[in-house]
Amino acid sequence: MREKLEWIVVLMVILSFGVVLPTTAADKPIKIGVVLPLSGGFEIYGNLGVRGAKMAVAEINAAGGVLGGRPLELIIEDNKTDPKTAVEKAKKLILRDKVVAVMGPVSSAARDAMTPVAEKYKTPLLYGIDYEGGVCNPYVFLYSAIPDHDMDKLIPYMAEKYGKSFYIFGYDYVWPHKMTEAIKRNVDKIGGEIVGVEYTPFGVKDYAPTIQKIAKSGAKILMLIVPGADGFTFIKQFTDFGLKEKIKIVALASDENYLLALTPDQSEGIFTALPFLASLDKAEARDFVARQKEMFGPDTVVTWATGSHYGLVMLLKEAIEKAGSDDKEKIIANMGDLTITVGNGPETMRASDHHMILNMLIGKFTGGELVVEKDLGAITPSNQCAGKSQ
Amino acid sequence: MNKFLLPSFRAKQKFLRPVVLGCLIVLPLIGDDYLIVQLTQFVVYGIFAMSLSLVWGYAGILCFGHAVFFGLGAYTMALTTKSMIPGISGFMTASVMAISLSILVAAIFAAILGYFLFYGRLSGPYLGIVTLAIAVIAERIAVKWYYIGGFNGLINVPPLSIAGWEIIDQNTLYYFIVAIGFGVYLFCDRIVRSPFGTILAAVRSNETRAEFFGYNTAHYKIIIFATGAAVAGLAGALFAVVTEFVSPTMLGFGLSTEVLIWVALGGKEILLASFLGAMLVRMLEALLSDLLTYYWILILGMFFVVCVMFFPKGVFGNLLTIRPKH
Repeated sequence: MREKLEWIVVLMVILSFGVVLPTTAADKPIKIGVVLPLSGGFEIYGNLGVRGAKMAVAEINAAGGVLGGRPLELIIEDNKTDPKTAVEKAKKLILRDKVVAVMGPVSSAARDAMTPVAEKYKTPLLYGIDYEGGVCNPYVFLYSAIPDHDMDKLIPYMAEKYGKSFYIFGYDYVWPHKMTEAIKRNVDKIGGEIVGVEYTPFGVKDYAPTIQKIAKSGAKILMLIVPGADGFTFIKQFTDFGLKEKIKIVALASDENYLLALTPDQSEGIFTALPFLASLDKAEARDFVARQKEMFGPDTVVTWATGSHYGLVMLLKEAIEKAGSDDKEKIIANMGDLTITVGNGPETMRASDHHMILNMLIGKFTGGELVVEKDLGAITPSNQCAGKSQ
Repeated sequence: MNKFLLPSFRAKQKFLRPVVLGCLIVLPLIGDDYLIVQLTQFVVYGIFAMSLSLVWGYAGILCFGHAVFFGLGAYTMALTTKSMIPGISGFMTASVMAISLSILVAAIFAAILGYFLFYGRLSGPYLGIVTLAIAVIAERIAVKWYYIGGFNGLINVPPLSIAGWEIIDQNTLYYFIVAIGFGVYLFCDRIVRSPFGTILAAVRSNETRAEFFGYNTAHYKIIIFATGAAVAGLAGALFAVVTEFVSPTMLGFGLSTEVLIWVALGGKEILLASFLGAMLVRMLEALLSDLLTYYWILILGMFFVVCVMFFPKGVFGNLLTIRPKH
């Protein structure tokens, strides 16, 4: 028995060698690599991004593919919310699967780690999550809301309605730090005041000391840069302290996912700024949500992350058609100045800095729904390559 | 330690050594570019696993923070070659110097740490808890310290260059790493077969008795701890070059436990088995995560449980050692 088991293990080892070796496949489909977190902390964004990309590919293939009948194919990899894994997976997709583009990741840390890989192998990197702005790279395309889109509008709006004193509470890494700078810039502009800034590590379970500090600070508005599970914990405790009436929360990167994790009472009154909300009352938004629900079931959550990754595949398809080829350099050359409509009006990928002109919305959690508080219309961000050479 | 085992162990190992080396040399010739990228990393992980085998398997020091030394090596390598350490410039930033510095930093840190751990007479679970805490602290420091990149880590680590010759070609880099790996294997093998290795075996089996015979056990433990750390530092330095970036996860708790799993699965008491354990787990991981995007962690976990139940000495360890006849 033992002897046999050992041989089985040895066989498995040899087999794993065999499968690690490349399989030769017909190169007819055009492959797109996806490196998103499906575990490790940011999976709520990763899973929805995958759904967006899957739907785009299904729709393109149903309509006859690209370049006269070639289908698109997604190859999905989990980066475990870890930059090291993200780099490994990106290399695998480019070298083994010969993808024409890599989509993802979610965290800025993983994106910065993957950028040199995209440069080295001259492969477009398609990023679809809101971030701090400032990336200027010929191989990186960002379907993202940056502070020019959200903070520049949201801060004056909140200050006018609720008061000019702000408290910033965020995760301790590059994105919250850069967002803090953007918030400060805008608060200065309107003559407001930052009464406190605090950063926290991942995985804290008790926020009572922080909440007391916020309560004492006299802030009218709390800028919460703690997305995901820790953010839910914080909001629950904040609600228990009964501070929701006195201090308004702006939760960065909060979306329809929050409705599942929080009770209507806990989420009530939280603000966010996004380019798309599932409750948006526009024909294309209703249609997009309906198509998602048809493909993935009636309980499917549809968020901006779904829309942005859908949009990235659509942009890629347009670029491939325009280039008339699946050559990566040609795709990059043709990816700029394309306009598409996903779920909220026409949006344009600029050739100059590979950032988007987006239609922005201020959203508010009301009665267990995330509803549109104000439609900001199309916002053109400043050139992110200003003062840099791409 | 070989002489305590029956000849078939030697025969098996004698047979397996050239087979492994042969496979490592031949595989890239039949694989694609990505296989080489993967194998390069796996061999580095293998070197890292051997360093833990030295400390855990041969000296019985269960260290839950072994990645600290790996990460120290990686960060030293990255900071030195990127000329980010004040006072170190010019020829000092060359790869060879940077690798030496990485080894030295890891070894010195381990020696100081070991001094307190082993003269403080920590062992067993207490040693495990302290080293675990050190790993968590190290990761927090790296995340907090913005000069060394914080949470994002450092990107664009320059490629290896030896006497002005840059190793950019993936194949050359691979064979270079394999050569270093082979060298490390011979070095570690020499240590464990030396009289020093025998003393380590004695310390591992019964520390009190070894002490009673007049051996200063803490002294020997510090030496092997520092040696293991030096090898881990070397692996870290190579890893920084291979992946071209470093991040705090490389010196934290996560990687520390991962390497324990590789070594436990392979066979902690045999260097070659530890090396193969790292290769095996990484390959299974690559294979499973491709086939089952969402469930591979579950499968890997079950595989680990099965291995611990049926092969307490590790998959390769069991194959290599002879079973006692009842």
